Amino acid sequence: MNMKKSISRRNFIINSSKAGGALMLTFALPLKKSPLVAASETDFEPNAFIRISQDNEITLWVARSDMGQGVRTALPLILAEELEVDLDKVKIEQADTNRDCGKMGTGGSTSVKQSYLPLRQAGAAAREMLISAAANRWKIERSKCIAENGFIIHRGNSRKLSYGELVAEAAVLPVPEAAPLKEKKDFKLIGKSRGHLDTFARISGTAKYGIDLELPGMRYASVLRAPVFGAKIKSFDDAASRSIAGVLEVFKIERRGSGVLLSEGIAVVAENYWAAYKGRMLLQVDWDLGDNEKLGSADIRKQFIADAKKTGVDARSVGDAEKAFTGSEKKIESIFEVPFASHSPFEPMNCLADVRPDGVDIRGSLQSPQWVQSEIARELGIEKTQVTVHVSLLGGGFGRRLEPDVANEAALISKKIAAPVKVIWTREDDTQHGLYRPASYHVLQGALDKKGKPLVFSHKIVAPSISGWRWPDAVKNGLDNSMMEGLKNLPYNFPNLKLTGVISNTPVHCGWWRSVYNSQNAFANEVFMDELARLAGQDPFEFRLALLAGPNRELDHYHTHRLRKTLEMVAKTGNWGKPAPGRFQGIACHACFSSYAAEIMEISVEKSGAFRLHKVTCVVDCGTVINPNGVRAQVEGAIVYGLSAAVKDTITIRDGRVEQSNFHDYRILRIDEMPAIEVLIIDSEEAPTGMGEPALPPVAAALSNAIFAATGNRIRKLPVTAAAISGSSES
Amino acid sequence: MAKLTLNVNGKTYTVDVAADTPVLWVLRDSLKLTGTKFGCGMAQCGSCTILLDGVAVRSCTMPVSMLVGRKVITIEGVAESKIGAALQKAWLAEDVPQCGYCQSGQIMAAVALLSKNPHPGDQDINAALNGQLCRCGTYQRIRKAIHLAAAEV
Repeated sequence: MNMKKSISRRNFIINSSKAGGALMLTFALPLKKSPLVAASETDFEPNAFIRISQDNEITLWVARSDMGQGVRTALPLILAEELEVDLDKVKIEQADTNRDCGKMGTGGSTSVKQSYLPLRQAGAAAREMLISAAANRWKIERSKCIAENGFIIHRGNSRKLSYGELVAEAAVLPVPEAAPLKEKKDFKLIGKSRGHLDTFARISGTAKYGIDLELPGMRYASVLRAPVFGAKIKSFDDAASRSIAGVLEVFKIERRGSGVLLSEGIAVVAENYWAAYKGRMLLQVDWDLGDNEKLGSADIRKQFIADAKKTGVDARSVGDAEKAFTGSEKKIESIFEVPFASHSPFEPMNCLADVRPDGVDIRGSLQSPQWVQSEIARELGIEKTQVTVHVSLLGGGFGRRLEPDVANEAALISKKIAAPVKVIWTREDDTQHGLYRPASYHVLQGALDKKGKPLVFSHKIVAPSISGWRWPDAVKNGLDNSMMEGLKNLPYNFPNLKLTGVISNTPVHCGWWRSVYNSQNAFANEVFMDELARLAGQDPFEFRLALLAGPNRELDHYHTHRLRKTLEMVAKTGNWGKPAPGRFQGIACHACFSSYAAEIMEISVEKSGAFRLHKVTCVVDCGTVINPNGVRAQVEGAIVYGLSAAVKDTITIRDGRVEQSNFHDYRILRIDEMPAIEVLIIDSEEAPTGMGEPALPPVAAALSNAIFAATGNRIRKLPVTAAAISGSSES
Repeated sequence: MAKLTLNVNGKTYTVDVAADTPVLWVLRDSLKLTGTKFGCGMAQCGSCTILLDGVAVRSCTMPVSMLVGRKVITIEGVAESKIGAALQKAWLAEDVPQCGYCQSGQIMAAVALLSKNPHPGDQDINAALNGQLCRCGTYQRIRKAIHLAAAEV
């Protein structure tokens, strides 16, 4: 591949065709420097390619990981729209780290948002070049040529040429600097619902996830990891493990690097998975349990309560919230608590590594192939260019697969045995060696003035810093910006506002869980808004609406008028104020990942505290919609994911370890608990924004608010319990 | 190690494995039928569901020795039956999967349901698929797809 490494911002589509006659365009997708570090400068780098071959094969290299969110459909759809071909004609190739595809991480609901314009521009440029090639061939004006369904047609004449017949001539033409983009009214594909391209593979057993991959001579490994955070191996006895037929080697994984992401462990390598697993279960280890042997959830809570007394650092402050709060006669203070949560994607962590003297190949279900590449290069002491990372389909991700831990582990094992190895984690490994949504503690204060008008809103979040826990340098001036997501851009127009963060790190490994800190911050914000509305004697919907009224205000890049419209639409669609008989409603809204979501939950409650969630109405504004079916699926998924975290089990710590182990004690929502979900997508002319996460943050708050409407009991601590609903325990 | 003869999707296979190996790992690692998925290893999630003589069972906790003399259908063989094919078609029509990892198990459980009860109500579906977990939250579409397939068959 002959391509320029760097290109200017203006001219970011490159004709990288070479001899062979195919038209190949390299183009840029803007992406933050890393999906894992909060806001940084936007770059333009070559990040994807299209190729149109002489036999009419159109290939798009997708450098984003598909974990069920549908990027392998949405991205080719955008290209096909401008290129004037049917979506089925675009062949998808998953780019590996050798393809020089620029930044490849998949996180933060950014794939569509960041790819939309570059993909359209690339498709339009290719289309215009093909039109020019046809016009040259026919010696007619370009305006007489139109692109349609994979052909250039001579308007008013029956002749036409397929793209493949034109690519050799198109490939030598200059790339137009600003190929015209289609108008929305002319869209044939964008905005129309369709099924995902991978669906049949996913329901016929033919889709290949990381766990399904194989290599000749491949071994299997199961790893026993330190049960307590930070524990070390003193000694171990592997005699019983080695007696299992098929077990080949047992060893402590020797690490070179200093990354925080891997517990110490012992690998059992075998000819098949079952032998490796059995051998691993027979290991006898004497652990040095270290400093965290006694750590429990109660200790962490105590630490949060103590740290809540610290001043913290303001992410945003308006007026003088403290003074106004002190001076007010009508005020409330509430404490909110959110527990650790596990991602628990359905495909357990796994990775296939092949470390050879001539290079390293890593294959698996990975969200951050380039982070994996650099971690493994560092760990093995080799150059990054010697490591190629191949991304398969992902059996769920939700942020867990951003982490390089399992790939790192697999590479170390493969190096030691000098053979390819597939490491497969058990569900217990996944549940107990996760990188959890941080637990958090929130102090909220609100006040009204003498006339009952909103006066103060103050929110202090106390939580571990996901970045700071790993990379202490990532925190500047005591503030982790990411921790303030969904808080620093609080949209409500209070005259006195104070939004503060206090970092309170713990030994518990923490990571980026679907919607990250938005899930905690929105829960506290939106329940407290309900409390303030009641204090003011107002309807919770009207109370919010009034604080979003007036001219549009822009906070970060969020617009209050878009959130207001989303909220108004949900009230209308979800029949706010008119629940079915015997049912009660709760409402909440939130903006994150550049999108807006508002939800109404309708529930009924029994005296025992058992409740039934009948219906969820969700309205979203995510700008221009590529595939409404995909957006609906993501909303349904985010709501279910949020509900599982809100009403089912949580991750708790006892004796320095995670107490839960599998789906019997880390339960998730089941089909009989599934509410009806109605999704309405606001028709918008704005640029498309992310939908993998934004429907999640309002979930717990809308539910808590519905429970209050039904029972008068306020849920401020997750998960929701029957005791708290019935008022028999302090919430 | 034990030499066993297995009937999977109408084909005969001979494998030489430890007799306590769960059916799941024999399907995946020995027969290379990787459509049946490992999710929990303790019959809690349903990702590994297969049909054994027409009954939905969890392959992750069933030793392979129990297969001898019985007929196994996995997701790779599901399209051979009228019900299986109708379910796959309905799954496509409703575009059920997100990540898709649990869907082999969901479809196998749905085949078992429709084989016994050609016109299940929501309660029947809830009861039959209660043990089939989906982390992506596709339950609403699963229900619709089963109703659609039932109408088709």
